[in-house]
Amino acid sequence: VSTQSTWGKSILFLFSQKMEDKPSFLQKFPFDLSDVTPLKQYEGTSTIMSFAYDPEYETILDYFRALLVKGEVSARVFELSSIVILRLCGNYNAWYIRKKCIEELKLDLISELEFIEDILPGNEKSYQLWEHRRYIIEKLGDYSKEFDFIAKVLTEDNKNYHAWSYRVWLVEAFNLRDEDLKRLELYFEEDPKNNSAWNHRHFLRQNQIKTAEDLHDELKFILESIKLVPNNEASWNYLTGWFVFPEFNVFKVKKGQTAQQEGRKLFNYADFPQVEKFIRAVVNENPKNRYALSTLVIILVSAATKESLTEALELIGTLQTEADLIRTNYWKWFSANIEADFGSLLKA
Amino acid sequence: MEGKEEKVPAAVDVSVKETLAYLRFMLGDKLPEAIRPFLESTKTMMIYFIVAAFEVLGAEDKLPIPKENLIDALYQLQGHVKRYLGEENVSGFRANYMLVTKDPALGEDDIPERFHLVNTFCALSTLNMLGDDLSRVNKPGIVRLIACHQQPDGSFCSVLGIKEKDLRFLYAALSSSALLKDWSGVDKERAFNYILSCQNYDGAFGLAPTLESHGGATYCAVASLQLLGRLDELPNKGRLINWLTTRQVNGVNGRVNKVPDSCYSFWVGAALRMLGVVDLLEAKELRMFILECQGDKGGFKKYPFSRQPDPVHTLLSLFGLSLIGGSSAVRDIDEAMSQPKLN
Repeated sequence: VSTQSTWGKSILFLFSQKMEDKPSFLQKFPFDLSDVTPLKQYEGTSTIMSFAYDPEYETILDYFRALLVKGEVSARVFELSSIVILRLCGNYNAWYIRKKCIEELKLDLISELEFIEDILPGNEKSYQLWEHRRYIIEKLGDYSKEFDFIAKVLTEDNKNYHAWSYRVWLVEAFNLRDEDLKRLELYFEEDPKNNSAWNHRHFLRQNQIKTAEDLHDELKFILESIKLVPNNEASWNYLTGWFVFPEFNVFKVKKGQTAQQEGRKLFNYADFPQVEKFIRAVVNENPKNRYALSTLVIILVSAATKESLTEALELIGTLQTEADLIRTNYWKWFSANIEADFGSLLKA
Repeated sequence: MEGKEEKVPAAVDVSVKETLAYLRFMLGDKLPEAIRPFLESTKTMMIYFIVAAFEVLGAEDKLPIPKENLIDALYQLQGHVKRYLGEENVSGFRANYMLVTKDPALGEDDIPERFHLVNTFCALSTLNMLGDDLSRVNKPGIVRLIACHQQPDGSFCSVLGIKEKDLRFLYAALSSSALLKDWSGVDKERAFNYILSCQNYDGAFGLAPTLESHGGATYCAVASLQLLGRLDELPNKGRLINWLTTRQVNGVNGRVNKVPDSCYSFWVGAALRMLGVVDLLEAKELRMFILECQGDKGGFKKYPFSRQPDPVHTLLSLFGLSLIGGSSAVRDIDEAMSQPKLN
């Protein structure tokens, strides 16, 4: 038995409309339920956060419970799950029995993709919905519609965490890194400040950027973007993410050693002088660009000479008093750590 | 008064009376259909948020239901399943009574329920806050639940049979173990390694490896390391503290280039407190932002311009104020356990 998409659509139509002459649930539901005794919900001994269920929802759940007790797997259970999900997308028990029906009755998977699209509005952040789509696509082995689906969701909210997370799964499942890197460029054109896109780029590139030459290439992309939009926290974070960040003594776990995280290849600013040169040019243009200033501070602290540290402290002064006032406490703490770690060098 | 709409200034402090009235309403009877979809599937979690809010306001005597009744109701949400999905003798707490057809005290359920780790943690935490000694909790059953949710990579899934697995459920598993004082359900070494695998290029944490750094995920990572007693082994602390403090715009946001949202006052503030540097936040600006998120009729909203408050943002705003010493109306909190400090 395969469900035709017309069934699915008419079910949702019947149960999402506010109908004028209000036919009852049993009148609207396309399957016979006369053999089923509906089961009421246990209410507990105290009324806590109870809901004013409308009679139809109460009836839907009464039949849902009854069918779950029976352990039934059938077309009518499948259709009932549609309505339960429509009323509460987060109802993972409904999604579970739906999946069971699909498996055992070998129901049509393309219709399921349509069902997901039908209930998507308002449910773009429902974990169950995204997992169900993943399950269907895995079975179909066909990802051809997925970038469009993701794009549809991201058009509404280009930072939807579920959509980007689904994208990571898609890329890994079907080996689409190079293809996706190209597609990603559209997101940078549209909204270079979208940090989700920058993070996704890091996911795509992290296994590709291994040598200094690799990073020289990537730096062209990053610095070009910063040049266009110099006050973009996302691109500056992405830049510093490829380089070592100096760790103060207060965080060192053993004598002179910081806790290590394996696997992450980090580069040294000293090997990429174009970065410091670029940043100084940005600071010249806008002496109060807090991203440029704080990145320059990091570079100078990494260099750890008397001159570089002295300049770092001066720049921190600018940050504290003009460019980054909300973080005055942070910069005080930061310079106190510089003094603590490099005091003797500074006084030399 | 006619003329231009004037911006209503933020209240000077927490409007305790109004907020308690809002919280009492949310725990009450016959809540409207309009808000049901936001509460129903995670009802136990919502109860936790509301009870914790009463507790942090020092108003546990003002709960609309007697403590004993609330405790009994929570225990009625506890379930035991002899066998499902290959697991045996597992206990957990339900989100609601949707799959319950009779009083649990009368014997085995008609419908084997699959328990969600977050609702289980929330029930345990709420019982703990209400002063219950957890003696009616089926501890071995819950420890088994926790154990069978842990994945080979060290993460925890939310519900058996569902692929959703990330730092949130890892935190729920660890904090539940802490409440039960029984860690035998957790492979601590694997959990530790999974946490570290979620650290990103900016020093903060995404919900799962490679996912975008997020304030809530970062809280779960830092709090979980704290509960494991291994926060000193966290790498890249300097970078992480930089990320955390750059979340502050006036209020605090949860991701780079996003708008400040009241709940991150807690997620980000608590992470900073556990790292010993909560004073790096600009407390006056943050306090003002949080109070701008207070509803006209009490409770706290996500954004100053949001229309309605909700239980999550209400509690986390109060917790946020506690972290920065922003109000005499709120008690001190245990940020790793996400509840008020209990005497």
